[in-house]
Amino acid sequence: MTIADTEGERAIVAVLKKKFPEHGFIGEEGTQKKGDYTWIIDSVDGTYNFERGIPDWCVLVALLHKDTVVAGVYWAPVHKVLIHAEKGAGCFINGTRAVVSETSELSKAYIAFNMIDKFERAGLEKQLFKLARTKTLRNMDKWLSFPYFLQGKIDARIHGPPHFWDIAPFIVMTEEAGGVVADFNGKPATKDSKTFIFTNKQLLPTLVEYLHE
Amino acid sequence: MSDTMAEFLDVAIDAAKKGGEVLMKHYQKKITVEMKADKTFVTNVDKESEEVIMTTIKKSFPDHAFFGEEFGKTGQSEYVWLIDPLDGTHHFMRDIPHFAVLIALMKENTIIMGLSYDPNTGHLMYAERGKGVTIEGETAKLSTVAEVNKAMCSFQWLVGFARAGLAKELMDLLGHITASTLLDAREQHQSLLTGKIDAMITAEIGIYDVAPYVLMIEELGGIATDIRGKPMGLDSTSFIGANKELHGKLVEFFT
Repeated sequence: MTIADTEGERAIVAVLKKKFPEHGFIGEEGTQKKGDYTWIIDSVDGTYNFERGIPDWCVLVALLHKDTVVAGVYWAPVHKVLIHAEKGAGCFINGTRAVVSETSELSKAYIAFNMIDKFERAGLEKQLFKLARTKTLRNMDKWLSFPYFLQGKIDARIHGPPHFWDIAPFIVMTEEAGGVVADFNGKPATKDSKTFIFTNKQLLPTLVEYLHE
Repeated sequence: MSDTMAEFLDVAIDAAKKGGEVLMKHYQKKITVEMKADKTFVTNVDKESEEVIMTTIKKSFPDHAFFGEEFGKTGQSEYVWLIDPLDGTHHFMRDIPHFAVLIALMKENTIIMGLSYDPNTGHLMYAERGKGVTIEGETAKLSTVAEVNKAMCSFQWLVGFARAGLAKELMDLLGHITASTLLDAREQHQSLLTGKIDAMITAEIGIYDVAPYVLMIEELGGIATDIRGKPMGLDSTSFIGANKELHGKLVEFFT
């Protein structure tokens, strides 16, 4: 963790604590559990880029009510992209409503992934390479591919076991943009899922079927 | 007019900009509902751009030869222009503004000039043999990371590794390095050439996809070869570019 991670997290927690003193927090600095609401914070998602002067990183904040993600924020300060979503109130990217794509055929889909080592460590590289053979699988950083996915320009994001705080905001964002979030078996995603697929309703069953053929 | 290096570069920049204009003319134009899935449409854009580039170059150098992604090898000369008129077709098709025009010139099998042009932003990177590298707005340099387990490496096109029978080798390498993804090949190369990442590795390419970057890496004191360490040539199908100390250690994973 860098100084930026630590100070960033503290700044975020300070703002939230003032407004919601009865809420709990989960961040890289630690966990403070309190009541039914928990804020999940990743103050610098993409530290390895941040450290090297590559501007591709973002701030992620999500709000859990019990086990459900009810609100999420993504802020990429260098590129000035803000995404926010609230259950029942839609998802917005720099003010424009987000709507996922309707691509239903695998051969026409653009599926983004990164963090290939996470797939490998979870023993999922076979699935990853299997998907790669459809020629629709593309390497694209999370910070960029999620905005494109939520705008309907690409069709899915897949993840090997992530830290929940790195994907929590995107769960409510995807749902509010008309998409679905499931694991590689097609089961609705929970905070304990080991794999994640973010996609539209039509593509999900095709993707899951292909992974299990 | 005599054939000077400066002339090659000037003509190449002019050709790249003209090719870029063709791309932007078609970009984000939903001419038919079939556009997204219609490879034919996209191929026509690629072809039109490559034609404009070739025509521009032929005006100044009528006797030179070409090797382009769309039209293949044409002409016979010690000078061969390598052209990828649209690197990033899958982004172009989806209104994602990350694609580039790549032009390089080989003389007797040595790359002597190369450029990478982004028509969305107008950003230009170029190099001439013996004259260094220009990356607009940044300082061109390679990183000095020499250890594999400290390296941050970018790679492209996972299926290429699988089809080349190198999936296991890639996974093995990934156990040692930090994998960088970034948004497209151009950004990955630009990050390599400004010292932010340490290597770029691809397993299925045509020489025109990487020729400008091969020259840029060499001009900065680095090494660019195919994935097995062989020198880059017209028929190369893979690529590893990195600083001098790191390059050989990465090649070892694939040999």
